[in-house]
Amino acid sequence: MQFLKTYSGILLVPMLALAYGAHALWELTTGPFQNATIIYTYVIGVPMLILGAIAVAGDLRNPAKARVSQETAASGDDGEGSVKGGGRRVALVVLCSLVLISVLSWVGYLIGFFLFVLAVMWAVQLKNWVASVIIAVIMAAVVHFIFVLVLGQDLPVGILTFMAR
Amino acid sequence: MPDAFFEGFQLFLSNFWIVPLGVLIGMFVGAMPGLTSSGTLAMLLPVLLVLKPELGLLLGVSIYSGAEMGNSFPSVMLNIPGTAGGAVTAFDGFPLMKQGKAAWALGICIMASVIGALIGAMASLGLSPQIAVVALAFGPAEICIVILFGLAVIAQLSAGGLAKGLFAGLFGLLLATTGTDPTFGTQRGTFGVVYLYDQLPVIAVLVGLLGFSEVLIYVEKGLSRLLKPGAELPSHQIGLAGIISGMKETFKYPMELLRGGAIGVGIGAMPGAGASVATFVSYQQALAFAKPERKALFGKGAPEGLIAADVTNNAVVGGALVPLLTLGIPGSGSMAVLLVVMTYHGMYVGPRLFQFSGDIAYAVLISQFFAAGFILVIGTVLAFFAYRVALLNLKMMVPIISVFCLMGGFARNNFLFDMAVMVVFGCLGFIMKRYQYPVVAMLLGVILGRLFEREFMRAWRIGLDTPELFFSSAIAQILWGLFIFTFVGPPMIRFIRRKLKSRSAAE
Repeated sequence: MQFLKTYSGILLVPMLALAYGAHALWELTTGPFQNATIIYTYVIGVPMLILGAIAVAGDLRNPAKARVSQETAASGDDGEGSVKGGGRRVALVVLCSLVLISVLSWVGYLIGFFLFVLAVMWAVQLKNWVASVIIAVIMAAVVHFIFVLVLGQDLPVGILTFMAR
Repeated sequence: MPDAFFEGFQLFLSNFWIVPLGVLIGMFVGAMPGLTSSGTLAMLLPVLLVLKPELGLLLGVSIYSGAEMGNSFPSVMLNIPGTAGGAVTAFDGFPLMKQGKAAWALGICIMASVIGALIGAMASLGLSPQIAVVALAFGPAEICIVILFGLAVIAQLSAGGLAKGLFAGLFGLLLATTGTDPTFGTQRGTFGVVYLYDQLPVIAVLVGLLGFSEVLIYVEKGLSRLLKPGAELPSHQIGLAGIISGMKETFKYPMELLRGGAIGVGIGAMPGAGASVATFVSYQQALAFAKPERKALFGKGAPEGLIAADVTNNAVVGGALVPLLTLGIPGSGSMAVLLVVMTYHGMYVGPRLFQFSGDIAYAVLISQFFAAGFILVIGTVLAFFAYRVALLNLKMMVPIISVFCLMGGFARNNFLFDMAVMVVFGCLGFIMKRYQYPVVAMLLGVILGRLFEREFMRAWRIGLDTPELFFSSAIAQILWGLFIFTFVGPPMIRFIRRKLKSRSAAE
């Protein structure tokens, strides 16, 4: 577990690149690609894989140096300003974003962004619920005004069908 | 003067109202710790894209200029730099505040920023058209080498080291191959996803890497308020007389102004370096050239130190415009956003920009002079209260910025898939920043990947399926020389410096 905790971050980006690079190189052997395309992919992919390996080797030799030191956050009035639980908060914000994206076409942008803002406020532990609701209402209104009315974006209205243009 | 210059001037005059707005937004953004100008521009991308290209570019450049000045307010008043570039301002600005000279220090910051912006504007206006003329001689092979050179410079300056920098850049170039092959029309790396058949959504990638990753860093740090409410604020120190006195003081240091301006332009033009590197170099140089009796004052409230930081901070903007407008290579995240705005509107990007869209290019260059004027006026007004932005509860900013980022991902194609891509690249950017991979290198790879591949294919085919064209011309050989120097130069310089030091120690 400790091993995973220490090395998962170090390996994540290179592993993604390795997976993508390997897929790109493998794909060349299966598809109807021209010679120039194959050479281009090798020119980019092979040095990338080598450099990724060098970067990982350097980080594994000195894992402590690989990661940017977390700045200690200044303490706030409510004592919430803490680095502790940072990973959990990040995961929650990402999860809120992904849930919003998956339900947006169903619930619509007004309800979706209202709930999203509330959820993110909860995830970052802003305990003032009145402020949270006010900001959520304002942000839903901002999205409607700036992106729909001014910029003419075609956002899904979801269950609020009366808002369809 | 070419006709395009006058057309550009006219174009600027008919759109000049956007400049003060941009400077104002930029100053608030710059004053807010953790919010970078590139992140803000990425967040505002939907707005920049909807505006006419000239308006979008003028707004973008003005925000960038304003942010480089705005970061001085909290640096001086609260010792909290708004951006990395503002950290050096705090070295001497905050001690001056503690001595009761906050207004004087802010006056110096404002005037040094104005002069820096003017130096940057003059340099970019003078150099860009000339460099563009030289760059017209570049063929497909040379363009490829220039892109590689840009990636190499970013990699060399990356905190994580050369290997991580080059790896990130090449990963970006490889990711850019996703979609339909621009030369032969074959599909690659789409994993059967229809939304990727065209290409990876560049705008979603940009907003994720620059904007959403910043949000996640905010969230991880768990920042709330940087100062406790009720903490004593130095607002009583701010007065117009003090600010004007500080402004006058700035003119007593012409060498610091010129040196700092030149460093800002030079480093600003280098891909990946940016204001944070430039201000440190400028401060170091100001210290090295200072008279022995003045050296002891550095870090305790030396006006020379403050001037060196602020003049450089703003000269960087002009310098950064040079590679963007002449070669189509963005040197920083902010410039990458502007490049996306240019390509979105179908503007030619590269050496022929001055031929095809010369009016817009000149309008952008000319706008910097006016931005400098607005920095003076708006900066003086905001000096009284802008630093208070740093007192906001930063947690409230998280959902607000997140909403703008999500909309930024959605804006281009109106696909929810693009929003998801934005979130994925936000997470990737967050991890990259954590483990010191330069996101700008990857971004440069993704944005310029298509151009790089097209030009590579052209050069390859002209060379009859051999790499001959990449090495045959004199320009290509010079560019390869520069490319190799990026790797060999820094260790060589370090070696020579070490030798000289040990020799002087022995003597």
